[in-house]
Amino acid sequence: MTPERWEELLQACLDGTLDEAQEGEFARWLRASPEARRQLRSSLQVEGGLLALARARCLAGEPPASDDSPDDASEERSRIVPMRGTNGNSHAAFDGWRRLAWGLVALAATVLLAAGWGWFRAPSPVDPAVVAHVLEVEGTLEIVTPSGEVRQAQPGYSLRAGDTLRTGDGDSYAVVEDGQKRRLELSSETIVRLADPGSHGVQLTQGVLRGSTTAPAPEPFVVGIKDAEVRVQGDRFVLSSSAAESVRVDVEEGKAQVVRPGEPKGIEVESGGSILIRSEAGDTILERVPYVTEPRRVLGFPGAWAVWFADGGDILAASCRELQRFGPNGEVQKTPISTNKTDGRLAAFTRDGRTLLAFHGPRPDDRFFLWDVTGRKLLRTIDARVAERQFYALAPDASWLATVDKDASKFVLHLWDAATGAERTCVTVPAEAHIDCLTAAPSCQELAAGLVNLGRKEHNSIRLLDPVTGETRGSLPTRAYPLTVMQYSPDGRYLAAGITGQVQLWDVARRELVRTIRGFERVLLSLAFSPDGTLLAGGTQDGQVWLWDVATGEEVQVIQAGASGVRVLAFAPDGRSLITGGIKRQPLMQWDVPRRSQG
Amino acid sequence: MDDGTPIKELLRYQGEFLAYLMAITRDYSAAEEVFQNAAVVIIEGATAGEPIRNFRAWAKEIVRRQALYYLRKQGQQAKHRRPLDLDLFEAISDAFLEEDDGPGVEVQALRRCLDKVPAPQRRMLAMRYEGRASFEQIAETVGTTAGAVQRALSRLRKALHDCVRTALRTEERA
Repeated sequence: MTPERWEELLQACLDGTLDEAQEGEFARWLRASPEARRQLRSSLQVEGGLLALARARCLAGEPPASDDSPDDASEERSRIVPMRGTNGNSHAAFDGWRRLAWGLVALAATVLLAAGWGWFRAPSPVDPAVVAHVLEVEGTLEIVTPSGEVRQAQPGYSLRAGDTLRTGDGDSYAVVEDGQKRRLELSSETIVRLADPGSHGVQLTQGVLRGSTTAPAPEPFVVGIKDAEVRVQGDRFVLSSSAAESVRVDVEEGKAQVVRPGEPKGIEVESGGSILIRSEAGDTILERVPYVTEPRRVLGFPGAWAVWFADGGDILAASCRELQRFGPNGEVQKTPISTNKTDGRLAAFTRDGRTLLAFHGPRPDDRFFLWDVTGRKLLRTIDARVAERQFYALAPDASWLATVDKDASKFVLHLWDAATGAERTCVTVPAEAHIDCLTAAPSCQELAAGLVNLGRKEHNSIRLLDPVTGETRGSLPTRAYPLTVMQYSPDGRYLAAGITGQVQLWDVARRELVRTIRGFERVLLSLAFSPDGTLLAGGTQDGQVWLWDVATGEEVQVIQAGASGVRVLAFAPDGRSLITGGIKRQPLMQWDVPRRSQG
Repeated sequence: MDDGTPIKELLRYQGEFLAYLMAITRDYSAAEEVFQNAAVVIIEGATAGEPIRNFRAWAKEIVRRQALYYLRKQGQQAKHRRPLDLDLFEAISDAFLEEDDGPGVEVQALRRCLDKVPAPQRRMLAMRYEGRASFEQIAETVGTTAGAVQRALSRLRKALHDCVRTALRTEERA
């Protein structure tokens, strides 16, 4: 290899732009040449120096704000900050460095504060280091040991002090139990760390953690969070956190005490109550939100992806495999749609309920298809595929379809004429961006695409596009990540953007952020406006549906519909009920919705 | 441990570890996240009481494992971008883990070399490393092409590297 070629590959490696062929060439040369390896190490050190100077804002040549040096570790400590874990789903921008110092100090304090943490006291008689066991796993559960090893856990896996537990996304779920029969249920995208040897308790980093005890415990059930401790005495509670600086505690049965630094007395939370802690703002909010756990009606059809309310009180539901019609008196008619043996990946009705769009998914030859609901026949197929459910949008009148395709290096938005199945155009997004999700405006004249620049959330936005030409008409700067779902209001005036732990409500015509709704501390998988636009419903990763008053942003009701993600939400035309679905192994259910006065 | 508290030791090598993670993840946000995860493990391990003879080597191994975990997870999700080839990951990691006999890069030496860089190029560095601008964004700002920006930054990086190595060799001889 020539020195010029080596230099080209080395710089591409540092830029993160090696293509597949270059990767192989670079790897072979590294293995073969000790000098190449030395140069790589040396270059990484120079890169590290540049990153250090970047943190101190010294690169441009202007004097730094204070007389500090990136070599001064004590000063540097104040600048390093914790970032959120993945998702899932992850999540932080450059100014997140400010929080790592707090995180590391809090971590050290957590390690040192061993007294009073009352969980995991009964180690296994066989191995004294074992403090709990995994009882159930769905999807993925990874264990990261204190030494950094990563293991996949299955039921029966023995957990040790200091282990970090992480569930995957989607419908991942895990249950852990200690020697005193105290259980923790981890929802998807949840990270929990067991206390170190010699200490007790658990630390919630992100996600949703549900705790329960089956027998009276002599000591409180203690869970540590970023800068507080939650001591629960009772039977059932839920902790949820979407960001390092916020956490929600819901006490279902029993009571809890939340203790924060500087507040030794703590805050008491009674059964049925909730507390929301926001560290940066210094807020601690006590509230009582009505939880609903009993549906008005259980319909059936666990695999349904789409719901539509027909005239006469009938409810239509569909998957890729089957259409079911539920009459008001409990009768059910079933119509096969395809010969697929499973319910597939997604389905959606048009506004008039006469056409169903569906995509089965897993096979390479699967394609989108349009089904005539009344005529019970296939209308046409469209030569499009998507990897995930949020990567499509159908015009409510079925005039167009938008899909997102991604290859190794870029995202491509395809726009299809749904009447003919022909592709009209495609739009390639910039190399360092990706599309999170799509939604169609009620007018059918606009497509919203959530655009994310990884690592630079200040540039994240929702692009408003012409669905025929792909031209950008405008942009809504969300400046947040990750965007998981969007929905227009029925009149098209508002666009609700679901971002982990918050909902942004945008006035589309004015391009203005009207309000940000927070407090639910969860990942949103679905959004739906009531027909009159006064209520907004959001389905979460752990089976909840939150209802908010659109005019005020206040929470109205919380429905506990299941234990895993709510992917289907549909309000009845009268706005007095809504249907939940898409929850793993759970049927469609109809829930009462409180009546609201017009704003 | 070499000297000082675990946090101080970690901060000393933070830049180098981040640069390695950038080469592996090709995404600054992911690199920061993986570094944070590694930092938790490193701090916990360092305060557990066991003596650590070579903090840097021990910490590097933890960083490598966290990077591998990230790659495996990225491979499972395959959401946004093709993950780095595992063969290349191993090659880079093996190089990263090897110990050097010579002195490492000192930030003060790098600062002195930076002082010799013309202001427009320093601003370009600042846009890339402080502002995390893409090549396209920098190109738009300075009025050139993305390819030209990438080449300019590569040349600048190499020049800084050579300058730092020369300065360190000079100091050794002195």
